[in-house]
Amino acid sequence: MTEKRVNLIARFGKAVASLLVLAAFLIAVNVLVDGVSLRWDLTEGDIHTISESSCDILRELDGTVTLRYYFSRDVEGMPMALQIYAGRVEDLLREYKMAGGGNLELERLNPQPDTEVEDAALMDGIQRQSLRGGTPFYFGLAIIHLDEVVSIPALSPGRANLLEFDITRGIHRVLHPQRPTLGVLSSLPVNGPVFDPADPNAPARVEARDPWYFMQSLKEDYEVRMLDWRVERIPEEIDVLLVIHPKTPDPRLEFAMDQYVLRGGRLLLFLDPFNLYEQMQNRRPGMPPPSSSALANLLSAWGVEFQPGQVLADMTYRSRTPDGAGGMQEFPAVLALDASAMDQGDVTTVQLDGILIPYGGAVLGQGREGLERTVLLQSSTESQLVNAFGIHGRTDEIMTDFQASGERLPVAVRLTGRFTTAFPNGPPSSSEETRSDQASPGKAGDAPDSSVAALSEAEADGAVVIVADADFLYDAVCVQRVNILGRPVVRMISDNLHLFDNLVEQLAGGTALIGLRSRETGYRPFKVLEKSRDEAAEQYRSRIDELESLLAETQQRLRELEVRKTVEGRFEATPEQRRLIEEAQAKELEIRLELRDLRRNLKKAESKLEVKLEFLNIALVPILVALAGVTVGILRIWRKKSK
Amino acid sequence: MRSVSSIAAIFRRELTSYFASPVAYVFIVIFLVLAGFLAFPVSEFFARNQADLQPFFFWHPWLFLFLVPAIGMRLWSEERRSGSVELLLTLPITDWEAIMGKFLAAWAFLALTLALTFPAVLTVAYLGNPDEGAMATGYLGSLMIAGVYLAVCNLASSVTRSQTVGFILGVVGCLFIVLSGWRPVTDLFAGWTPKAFVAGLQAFSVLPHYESLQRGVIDLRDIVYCASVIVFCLYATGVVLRNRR
Repeated sequence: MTEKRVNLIARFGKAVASLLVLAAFLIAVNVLVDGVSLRWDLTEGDIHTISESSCDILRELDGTVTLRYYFSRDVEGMPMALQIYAGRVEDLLREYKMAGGGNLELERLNPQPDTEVEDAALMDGIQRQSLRGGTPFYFGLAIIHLDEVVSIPALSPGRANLLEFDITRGIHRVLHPQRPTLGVLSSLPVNGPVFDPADPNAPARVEARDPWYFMQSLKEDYEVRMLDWRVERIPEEIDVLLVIHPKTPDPRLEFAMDQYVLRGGRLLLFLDPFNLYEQMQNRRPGMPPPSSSALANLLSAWGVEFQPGQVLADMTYRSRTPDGAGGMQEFPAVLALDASAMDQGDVTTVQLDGILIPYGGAVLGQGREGLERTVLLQSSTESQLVNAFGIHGRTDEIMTDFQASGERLPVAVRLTGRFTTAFPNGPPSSSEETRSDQASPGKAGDAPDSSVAALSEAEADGAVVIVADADFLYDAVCVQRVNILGRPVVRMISDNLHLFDNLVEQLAGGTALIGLRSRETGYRPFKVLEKSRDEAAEQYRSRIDELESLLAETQQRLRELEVRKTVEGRFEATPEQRRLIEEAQAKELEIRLELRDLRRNLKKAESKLEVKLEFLNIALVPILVALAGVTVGILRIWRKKSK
Repeated sequence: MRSVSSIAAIFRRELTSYFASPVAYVFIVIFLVLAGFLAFPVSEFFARNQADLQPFFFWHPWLFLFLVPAIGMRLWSEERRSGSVELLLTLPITDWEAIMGKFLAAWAFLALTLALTFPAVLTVAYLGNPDEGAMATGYLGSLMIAGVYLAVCNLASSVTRSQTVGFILGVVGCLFIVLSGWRPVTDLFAGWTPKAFVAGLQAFSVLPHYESLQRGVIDLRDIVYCASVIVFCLYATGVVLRNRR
């Protein structure tokens, strides 16, 4: 081998070697980076990033959770909106997979009719839906952990902004299948009649009534324990404490609740400046208006304020009912709140409409430093706090003397974070309490546990939701019981119970669920196009409708003529009838032709904008570029020539 | 820095030469017309009723597949055929400065072509309320995939003197990058190669990275992938040129 050859081979070898080394290095870099999750979500509303709260819940995974995603993607005639939404769902599920790492499995299945996959879908609780032509399809998600299955039977673009919430909540539920325990402290007979003369908060008369409707539905999902007002310590196993209309000031109760919240407890509190239910039960004149005033210490420690005896009147949200005489009666202090009064970013209030607040109050104050306050429901700026005394009869007076406060007053707020104690000096002295303990020894609440030191600081993040109306939960405000074909049916007359269910569920789910927000939908329709189509349609719509009804008339007339002919027992029509029939047929043809023309023009008008835009995109710039090219070409030739 | 100014000089020379011939204008017109035609009537753009550019970006990997080699084939084949490669490489510039200059000029030209699709952006902005972040990353993704294809075509054109062969090799190379994650291709290897190889083959495909950028997310992995392919191809071009002298 000549030296030159050797050199050539050596060079070649070196070249190949360097390429291999570089390739190996780059592959290694890529593999390394694959494990790193460094990304920048530039979408509006970060629709491809799951929120911190979801990540928190995924972090506590200690076993495998499987997400089984069912979508019959190959079905013919699947509406565009569903296909697009399916893309979004799959993107989000991929994000879950990435965040969950090895503990989260994602299965994507395509159920076709009469297959095993379809059976699996039905077993997993996925709903069988149908397209317009009757073709069945499946679009749902099942979340599985060990033996527990939680499913979202039908994913819907209408709930796009709650997609992440639904999935994360499902994962949470499947990890915690045990029913949370709800403790209830109520001065209203929500659980049916209570007869307890020693209980200062018990109602004066025994009512022969069923538990309120909300209690019945609560018991289906939660372990409900009725607590005694004299309780000194909220039991450990209470996941959510529901306090309804605490009337009598009791420092022991406040202390128990204070400590509960400091331990990281979740509290749902209903206060009321004027309790409609009690008013209706105790129709004795001269009685002071019933109201809640028992938690002043606690509320001020939390940085909020509730004024007992002050009812919220609102001219924008005042309710109106027909007064039986053809007119409308207005109740400025009975509020019918619509979506504009609700926080659209909060999972508990989004998608709700129609909350009734009869004679409720306001929860003022910004919340203590260190607490995060979310206003869930608020009044309009046309609102005013008025005195509750005799409010029933003062409707006219309230309206005439109305002075708008100019600010939106909160009706329901949520406070989360580390709460500070209302009892910096330790538990209140228990001297007055021993008397009632002795009176009914069997009924005493939990004795103060002196072995457990009182907390002066929060151990964990707590959450408190305060709603300034206890009638919120009253049956007459929430449901209507009707008899349909002899069977009792319950109808919702407001969204109150939906909001209540959402609030309880969120509180029971813990801080991570509380942190989840409603998200941007990513659905961006062509509003301008829709508008221009509507405008074009308007011109033709009325004429088309006219013609269509004329056509129907003419056809009807034709049918009548035919009928008359046979009724008179003839085989042939008289010349007169023949003429009429011919006339009618000619008219029908004329109308049909005109309709066809109009419909064609309507289509053209509707797509006029589209055609213009298509031209703009396909032809305009290329034409300009071509012109530029030709110009440059001519200039060069011209310059060359002139040299 | 001297190398930056050298690269800039090459860059300028290349870019102006594009516009001196009809090639550039023809290329731009063809790209714009095809891109518009595929995006609007073919994809039923308006019927979708969504103010985003997804149907527009969907076609780019396929459009670029045969249009970018048309640009790439000229990069080195021409110079090698006419012999000006030697002239170029004896100038007081290094190999990689020449390679970078030519590559960047071609990439800039593709960027300009993309920029001329701005009527699409105006259209969706006028008709609805598009997600601007997602559109920006969409364009970024398009630019990146064009860069990746261009690097492959750079390499393809440097191994041959014939522009036609350069074009074909470029198309094949880009096709490989796109289809390596495709089911039929992976199935071919699935039976008899180790799982890691098949996984690696899948990871080689540019489409998942492109789709990820389309969604509106800039992921480090996607940037690293594109940069890796570009770096490798340009380095390989340098090796080839030096050894073919």
